[in-house]
Amino acid sequence: MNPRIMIVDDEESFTNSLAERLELREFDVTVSFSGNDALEKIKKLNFDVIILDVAMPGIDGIEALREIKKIKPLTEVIMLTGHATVETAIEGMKLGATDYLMKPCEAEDLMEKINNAYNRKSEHEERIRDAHVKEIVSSPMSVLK
Amino acid sequence: MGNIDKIDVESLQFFGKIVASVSHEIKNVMAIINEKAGLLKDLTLMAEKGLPLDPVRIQTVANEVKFQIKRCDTIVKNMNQFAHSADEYSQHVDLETMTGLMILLSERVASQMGVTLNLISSDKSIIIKTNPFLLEFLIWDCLQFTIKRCANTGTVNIIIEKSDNTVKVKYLLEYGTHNKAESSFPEERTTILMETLSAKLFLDLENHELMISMSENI
Repeated sequence: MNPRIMIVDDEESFTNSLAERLELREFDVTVSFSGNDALEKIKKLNFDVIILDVAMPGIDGIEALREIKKIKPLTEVIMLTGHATVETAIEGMKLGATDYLMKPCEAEDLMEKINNAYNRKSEHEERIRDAHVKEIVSSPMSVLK
Repeated sequence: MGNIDKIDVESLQFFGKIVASVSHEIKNVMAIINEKAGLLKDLTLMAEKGLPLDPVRIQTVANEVKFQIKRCDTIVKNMNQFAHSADEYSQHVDLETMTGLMILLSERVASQMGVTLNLISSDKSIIIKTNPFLLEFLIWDCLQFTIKRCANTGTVNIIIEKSDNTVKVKYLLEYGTHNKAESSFPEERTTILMETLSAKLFLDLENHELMISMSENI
């Protein structure tokens, strides 16, 4: 299965170009131009990695990140910031973002971070599945709970 | 710290905020151009592997790059105009042009707070003699208050008027529930700016109006 990516950024031209480049690399890409729209999509669909801009009208990236982690805690988030400082990105990482990138960024760097995030999510989900299996094996009646 | 020292420090902070905001805008444009260049490279690599190259697609990307260059040129021009406002202590300026510039420089913050700024243009230019940098600071200060007041889907309409030797910058606020956090306006800095510019400030929260009034020559 191709990694499912969502790009959240209010700069439509940037978002659409980045989406096209990721699709050429066979990622399954959804775009969103606002934090609120992104949260609506996250409630309905599952994504492996979300690339999230920090500075957006309405709810900003940090606020959106808080909500994403409530709705889909296993989804990996990479913060994308145009600020000259890393402080905002560090705040994001304290709130659960996996990584951050400064705009403009090299495609190779972004691909590497996306793949690392996707692998991390896959491993985490596998550990959860293993834990479920162990629970069933040790206590077969637990499936009835 | 005396009054003038406080204004010196706050003026520099104001200048820094504007420059930081402009640099953020420029970075956004660079990010877009970077992606477009990357996309062209990707399409070229795919063409080398045998996939057909669509000239219309290439043309579209080229046009998008040109659009972003024009956008960046405007951003830099505005920053340049702002920077030059500190050249002389006293100058003749077009008040509507100056107000328009401060609105453009405040649009990113306004947009992030869900506020629309509208300059309602008059038929004729209103030329005043003033300290351009300090007046820009005062106009911007009032804009920040009105933006915060209207946060989340509000609108600020700005009108410039002249009668006799008095000019006015009016901020007409439209909002549902206002943000009460800024009800302490004007603060000390704004008061010092008004004194320095021989301006008066009228705040009518009930009628959602803020007005700067001053002589056309200071």
